[in-house]
Amino acid sequence: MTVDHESGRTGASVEPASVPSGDASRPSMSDGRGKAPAHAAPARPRWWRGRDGLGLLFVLAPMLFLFAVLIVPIVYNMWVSLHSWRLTDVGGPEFVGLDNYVEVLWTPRWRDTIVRTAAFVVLTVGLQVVIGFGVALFLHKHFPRARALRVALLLPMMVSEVAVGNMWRLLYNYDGGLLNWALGLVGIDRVFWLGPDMAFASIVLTDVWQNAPFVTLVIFAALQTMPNELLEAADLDGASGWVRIRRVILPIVQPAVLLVLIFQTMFAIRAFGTIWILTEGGPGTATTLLSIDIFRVALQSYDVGLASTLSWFLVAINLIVAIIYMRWLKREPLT
Amino acid sequence: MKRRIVALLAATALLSTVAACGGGDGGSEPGPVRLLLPTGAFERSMQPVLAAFTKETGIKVEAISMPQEDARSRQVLDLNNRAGNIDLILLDDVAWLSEVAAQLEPLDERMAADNVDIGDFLPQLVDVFNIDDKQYAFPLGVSPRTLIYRADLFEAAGLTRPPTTYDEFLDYARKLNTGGVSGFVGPWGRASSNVSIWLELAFNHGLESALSPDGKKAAFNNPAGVAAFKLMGDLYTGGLMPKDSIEFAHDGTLVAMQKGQAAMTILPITFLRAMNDKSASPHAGQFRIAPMPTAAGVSTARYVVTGWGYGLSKHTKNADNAWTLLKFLNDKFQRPGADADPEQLIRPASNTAFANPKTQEIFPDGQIDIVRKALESPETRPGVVQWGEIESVLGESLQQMFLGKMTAEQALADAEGKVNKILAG
Repeated sequence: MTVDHESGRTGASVEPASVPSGDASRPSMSDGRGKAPAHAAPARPRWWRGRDGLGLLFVLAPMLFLFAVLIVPIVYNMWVSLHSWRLTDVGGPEFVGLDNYVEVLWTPRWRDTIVRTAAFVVLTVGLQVVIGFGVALFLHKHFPRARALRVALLLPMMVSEVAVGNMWRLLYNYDGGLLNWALGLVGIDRVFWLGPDMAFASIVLTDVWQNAPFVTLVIFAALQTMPNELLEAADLDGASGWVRIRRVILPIVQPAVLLVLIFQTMFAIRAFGTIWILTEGGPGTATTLLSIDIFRVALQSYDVGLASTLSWFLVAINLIVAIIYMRWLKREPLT
Repeated sequence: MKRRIVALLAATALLSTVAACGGGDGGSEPGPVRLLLPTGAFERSMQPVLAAFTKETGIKVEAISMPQEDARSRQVLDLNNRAGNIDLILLDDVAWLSEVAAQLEPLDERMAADNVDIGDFLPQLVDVFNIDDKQYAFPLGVSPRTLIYRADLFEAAGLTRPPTTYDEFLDYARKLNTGGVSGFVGPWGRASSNVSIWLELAFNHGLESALSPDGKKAAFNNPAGVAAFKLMGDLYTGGLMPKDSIEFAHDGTLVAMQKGQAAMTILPITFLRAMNDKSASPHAGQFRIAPMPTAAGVSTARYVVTGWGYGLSKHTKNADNAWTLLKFLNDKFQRPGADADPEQLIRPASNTAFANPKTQEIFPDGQIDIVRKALESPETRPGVVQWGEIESVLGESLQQMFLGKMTAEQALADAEGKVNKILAG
């Protein structure tokens, strides 16, 4: 066992083979006065001692990559948001300070979009959690074909947004759609699902249909970890169904609920594909969310300055909601 | 030592990757000519021509099909980044051309050098792709919007000829609005479609121009503009259109006509062939085109023409092959032979195309004269770079009016304010 005094590490080593004294062609390992040999590698600077170059490279490479694909675009996006810049203009970006932010806050059209986006998030996430929780409780019970039902209930989550949009567009079709056909069978008048009165509710329904299974999946997994003794004890104490949920189940699945709240909120805030296929934000602006306006402003009007500004509002909403959830997460579990 | 070698190799690999990301294809052979195709009839008409080009010249073509709005944004980004990934730039008349003209190579010099003849095209259509006396593209697929109607329903209602005034048009729509059939249907759901129709209706109510001559102010908020807005609103709110037509684009309107849900529409003439396709509609053979009605004081009907051409990107690394393809397209679309695909002839743009027997078959009984007359006095969407944004604003105002949230006057005044703000930059 030897000690590497530079690195401080210990490890097995092999003593160097002695050099025959008569071999004049081989350089001496030492001058006999304890000094380092002339050809030895130069001493490492103090800050480098004890560091592993290869390890550092492996850390640096992904950090550089993350810097290039995450930090640079974010900073660039902020820079763009402070400029008036239309891609079709011959002139380049023109610095306008916070003008774009003022415009978003003072223009009713953009304010309405922000409010509508917030309403969409609250409604979809709320419904997803309530429905997802209910379905998870149902699936937690043992009954025949439970496994097949679990798989079937998770199917919507596996379908791409484009397919979901097109499928629901056919279902919602005013003239010949499956929903109106079914209503017709029971003597109810056709509903204009994607019309001005119902379009917002329809996109909420579609979003809930697609995303509630994720909530179900996570809460169901949390329920699997719940000891049955707790529920049995509650039964013995004569707890009602609601009390069992409120006092026994919810405290146990609370971290999972918070997790899905954070995830689903992020998904809902940036919802785009399905809604674009269903309504393109119409009729009028009935289903126009922030993500749709950002797309329109950036890639139809090519006003990348304003689009970047709108995207910062999207980030702001996300951050505010995340902070609220995180504070909730830090609270004591429900008791 | 081993560690150092591994570290050196890793660093080299990283640098090579970064260099590869930043580098172009400098020094390599030019690849295939790249262009985008808008999904639909024009795409179908282009595919056989592109295949024939590759067969004849050996030059490969990479044609990527996508919805037209996606094509537009992809091209703008490519040109803005000076990437040169797309060699030929798809242009939807002067509206798209004005957005990207600064990044396109005018074709005049190449045309003069190669003696390229465009004399058989209708000169008015050649002008659609001309800015400041510079030619940027050839009119490969340009078409006007006209009134399209069901002859059998007209006959059943005792209507012996198409309407010629807007009072008559509304009267016809009411008479035909019976028995589960709407009097009219149109693409009221998409700004890119309904604004062009509004513009055409406004021209036929006496609008001179949508914007001021210098392109700096809106010029549409006048009696002609309001009357056209109001007409579109009355058709919808008066129950003369299918309830769900406020979510229709062109394809939804086409399907409604094919299924027999409406008696009249205003669409580009390219849709006539699909309506009269026996495999697609039980009413095939009954669809006819008619001149646009005109309001009092307007003597000649005016038509908004839109359609496709290709410009040569300034940033292409494959300019010579791309130009060879452009010349080929010019020849095939200007002088379609007997073997030309009918999809290509649904947008006749040259004397040869009009004389082609297949074109006559698509527009029988004198309808071809209506098409020719419409193309000989074309109006285009304004050639300002902001037109895409203006179209969105007008489309949104139209929808607010359809939904009853604004009157025609309020909606147009609202749009005027927003458009002036856009034009002021």
